[in-house]
Amino acid sequence: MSAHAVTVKEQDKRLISSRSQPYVYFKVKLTIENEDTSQMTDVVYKFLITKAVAETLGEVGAAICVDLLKLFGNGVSIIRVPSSHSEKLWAALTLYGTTPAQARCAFRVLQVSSFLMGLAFDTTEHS
Amino acid sequence: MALPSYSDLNILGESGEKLTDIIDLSIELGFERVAVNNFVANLKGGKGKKQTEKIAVSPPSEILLNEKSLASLQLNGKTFEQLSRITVVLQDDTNIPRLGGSDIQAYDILAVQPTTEATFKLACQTLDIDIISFNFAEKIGFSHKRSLLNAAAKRGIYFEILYGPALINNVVKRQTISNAMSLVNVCLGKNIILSSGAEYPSTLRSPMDVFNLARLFGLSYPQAKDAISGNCRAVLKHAASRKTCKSVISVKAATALSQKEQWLLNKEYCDPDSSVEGDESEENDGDESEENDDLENDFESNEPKKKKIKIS
Repeated sequence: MSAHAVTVKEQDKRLISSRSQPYVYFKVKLTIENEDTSQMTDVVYKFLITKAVAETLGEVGAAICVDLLKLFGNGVSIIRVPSSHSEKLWAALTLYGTTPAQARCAFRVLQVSSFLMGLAFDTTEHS
Repeated sequence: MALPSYSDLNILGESGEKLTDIIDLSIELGFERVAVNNFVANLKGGKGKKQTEKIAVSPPSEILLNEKSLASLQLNGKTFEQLSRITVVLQDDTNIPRLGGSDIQAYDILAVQPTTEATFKLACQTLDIDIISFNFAEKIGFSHKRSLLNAAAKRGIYFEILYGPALINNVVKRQTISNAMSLVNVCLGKNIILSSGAEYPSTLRSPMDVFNLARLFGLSYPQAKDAISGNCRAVLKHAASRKTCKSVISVKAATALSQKEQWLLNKEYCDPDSSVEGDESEENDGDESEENDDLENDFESNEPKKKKIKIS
């Protein structure tokens, strides 16, 4: 993020904050082998996230406040994480490989942004 | 700056439906270069062995993409490169003579996995290989010495961290993270590549996930990026240089040339492709060495030939 505070006129003053934002938003896709994730309830989804974090970061890590903001039908969700822990938490999601039912699964992070609006459009997808 | 092309230089598996699935997924995730790995646990080389006892190394396989994934590639205007790689476990030095064999050299990338200190030293200092891989799932029985790692880095060999096995259970995960961190610590984050070692599609992670994982292992931002893009390309260049014939180029500063040798700087003579105007262009048809001799006779007829720039 570049920090520029451009003052053009007093009425259309534009401010871009340079300080780090309190939260980081992730767009995550969960895939479970031989299982349909489209019917998954948000309770189960949140449980798997907590499980993933607890497995790598332990109980202290699981205490990090992760909010499931929106669960789309196809296993894609938007989660909100405090930015101070976002890197470790992302790694914990990446390193989660098997569900409690011993099925292979994968959390793949599709997009990351410190603003929720940033997830509205995916620049890596042109098609 | 060109966009980085993400690579995964280790996808396990024999040809089949599963492998096609992995490759399709890797395209979908944004990888542009993938190497299919043939893992050989024991080559069973050695002098005393009969030919029949030796394990036959299957030739590298080519996996054809199906219509659908090919169409989506063309739609996005992306390229996809498929490579073959062989990884040989080195328990002792009996297998080493076989590494030069044509069946193993047929692979694009040659990697070894040393299990003892002696073979690790050998791999770093003398063997003609591209990647040194470790079995991170277990405790490595030897220490990564900085002098050895530096020697390997100087020869253009890269070290591989596999994250695939870490996804299976917690003990392996812990072991992988600690081994990877100690490796990164010793070699200061240079000459490291990250690859999946995926056996199943669900083992594969997207490039940005791997990037963040590299950060966890202690790499800096540019190093983490290199670990999945730039360093992988360097591995390929190193592998390509292993296959081309040996050549030598001598380089001399232009200012160090004597007055009599200044003609070498003349662009017409330096660049064999550039068309030379006038009578000389007709002389170009002749043998190149002959032409050189002619020129030298023209310009330094009184001087004995001191130096000849030869590029073979």
